[in-house]
Amino acid sequence: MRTDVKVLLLGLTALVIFLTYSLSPVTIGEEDTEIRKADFIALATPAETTVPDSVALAASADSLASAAKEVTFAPDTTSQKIFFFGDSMVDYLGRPFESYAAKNGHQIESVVWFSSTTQHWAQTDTLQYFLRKFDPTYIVICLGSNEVEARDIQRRQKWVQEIQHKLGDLPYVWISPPNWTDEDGFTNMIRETVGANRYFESSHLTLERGPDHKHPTYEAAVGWMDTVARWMQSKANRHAIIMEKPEETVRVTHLQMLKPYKLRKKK
Amino acid sequence: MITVQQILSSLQEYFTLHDGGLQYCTLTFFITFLIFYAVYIIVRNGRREAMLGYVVVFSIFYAYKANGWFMLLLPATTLISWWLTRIMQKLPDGGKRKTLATFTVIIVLSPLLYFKYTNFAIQTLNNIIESNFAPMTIFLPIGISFYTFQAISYVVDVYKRKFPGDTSLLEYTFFLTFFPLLMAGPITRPQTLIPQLKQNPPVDKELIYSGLFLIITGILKKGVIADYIAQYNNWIFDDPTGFSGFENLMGVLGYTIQIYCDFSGYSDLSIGIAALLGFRLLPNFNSPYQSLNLSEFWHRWHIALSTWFRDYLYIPLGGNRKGKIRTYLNNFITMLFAGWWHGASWMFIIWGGVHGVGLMIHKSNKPWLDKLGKGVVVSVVSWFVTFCYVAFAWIFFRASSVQNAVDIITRIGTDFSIDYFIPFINARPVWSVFVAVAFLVHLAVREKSFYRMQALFVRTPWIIKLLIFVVCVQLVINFRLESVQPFIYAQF
Repeated sequence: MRTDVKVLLLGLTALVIFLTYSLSPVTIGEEDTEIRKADFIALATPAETTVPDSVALAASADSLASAAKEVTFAPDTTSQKIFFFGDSMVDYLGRPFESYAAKNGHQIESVVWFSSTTQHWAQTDTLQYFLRKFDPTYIVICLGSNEVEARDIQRRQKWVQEIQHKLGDLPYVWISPPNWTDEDGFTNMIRETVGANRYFESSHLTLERGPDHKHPTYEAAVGWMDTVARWMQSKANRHAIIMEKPEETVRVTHLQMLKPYKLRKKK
Repeated sequence: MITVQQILSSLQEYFTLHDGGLQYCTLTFFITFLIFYAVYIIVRNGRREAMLGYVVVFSIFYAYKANGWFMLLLPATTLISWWLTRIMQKLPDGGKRKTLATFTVIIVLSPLLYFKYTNFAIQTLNNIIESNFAPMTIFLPIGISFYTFQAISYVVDVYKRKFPGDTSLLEYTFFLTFFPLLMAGPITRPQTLIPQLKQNPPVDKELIYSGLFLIITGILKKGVIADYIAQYNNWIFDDPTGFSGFENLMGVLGYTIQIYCDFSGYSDLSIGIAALLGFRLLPNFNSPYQSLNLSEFWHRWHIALSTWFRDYLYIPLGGNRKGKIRTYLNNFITMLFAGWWHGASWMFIIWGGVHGVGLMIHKSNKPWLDKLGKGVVVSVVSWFVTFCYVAFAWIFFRASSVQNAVDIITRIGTDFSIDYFIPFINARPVWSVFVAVAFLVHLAVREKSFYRMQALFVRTPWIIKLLIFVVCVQLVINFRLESVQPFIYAQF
């Protein structure tokens, strides 16, 4: 057989091996030693979905919106330096958030740490680094998507408290993950730990989801952000700031992404 | 569950979207190349022109994926340079021939100057005369620096009668558009590639398997090592003041390894792919960090570019034929332009200038340096000084500004503490291992050893080759998703 044909067969055989492993339910190895699968699904999925008008809001969110219209209450109208951090949901919320910031005279810096949990932000220096770097006056957190079904609630509460400790006296709000399961132990714990007047409940929202049925689509995230913004400038938020809806979308330039990181286990 | 509609949409997107090109270390390129190669094997058995045409069509598609409709610049440059050279090569020696050659070079160079350096010129003018001209929105076509230089070498070599000007349009188009060379070289001379296009040799087993070996080394260098260690290096160069002096030094060392692995890995992949298609290209790197002086470094680093600047700038300026002072000046000017070629930024010019100064110092002291001999101590000291100088110069190449470079150098100089060594290794064990292994392998493996390993690979059974290939690709998949801890964490 000709050499070039042998090399072609080598390539095809390798492709079949990777494809078979990628599609099989079996995973070889565990955590640190896992043999990861090639992402053939991403190849077959077009970059954009095509669903307009994708957000349906529940009644409770509307009531929060009406609460924001009460004449006797006014949010803080001073410009804020907002630091928005969390897991992959920040990639979705962070984009429309920049338009909100531009409209209301705020500066915003967003950091997405893919696959991160409360443990990551509590037990590494990453949060301190960005607090030093950005010197924010206001914090927004969207974290918990990767642990909504966690059972070790007490352990995770310590990590939430560690994050609170790192924030010191900075005003902050916590946006809950938009739950796709009925499990609410973890999110209930966050609300109890940070306080209901710092916590925005996203789980009741009906959001158009992407192919993984967890992350919203980018269009849905715009509606999600609209709801978050209404709450942020409402009386329900202990640290209410002005967050009027923008008329136009600005280019995203303050969104930084960190790749997944495996925390080392304690010996 | 993937639907047929999603697959069709993905295919439509694949053929119509231009999103930076088909990057080598991706699944998309792998599958694309296998399909291309399968058809190539069949076409190759037929007429030579059919094979050339097939590769040209694929190369144009490859250029479209990278640059969209800006890729039309490539066939336009090809056609104009070929046609003008054709006319020029028929003229007798004299003023007309020289004028037409000069005109052709200017025409070929103009798009590169416009797309790459217009905003640089505007910015520089603004700085000098304190004006406020707005920069233009100019898209820089990927690969333009490489195919422009290839075209210029063809024009000049035909003008100087170093290369016959009877290349057919198809052969010349193949030469300029050949997809393994398109995005990032190596810049290939017409003498290297065009004669091979006129032949129809049988399938060369050794060439093809040597190409596969190079592809594997390229995957390891670029897809595994360079891409992984870049994560940490980027943190340092983005914000050096946020890290200790030790961490800054590691970032500089890491970048020194990264740029070698990235660039030489890419060259290995390009040369390897060309070999699979039956074309033999010249090596572009020869263990540059083994160099004992800067002159040697430039004989080992990016050989295609350094020889191009030697032949088409340094020698026309007078080379070393006009006395010592003029030699040093020619060296310095050549290095400034070599730096500037890398990008439209004063940082690249400064990097070139640093190397120019280094070369001047080496050449002016060469007489007494040669008398020191080549003993172990002299060699080790020479190597160390050369390596440190090259690593120092990389700071300017990578830094975003002079201030950024000064910050890094200052942090290393004023905040260095060896106490960070153990916590650093503990926090970033994989990064440290990658840098250490890449560095040691680079120093230990000589040229002969490399070719011995390559020959051994050629002789191994097919199943072993498959295993090695699968393991290397799996390493890319695994390490692609891994991230380096940006900061030393204190609580573990």
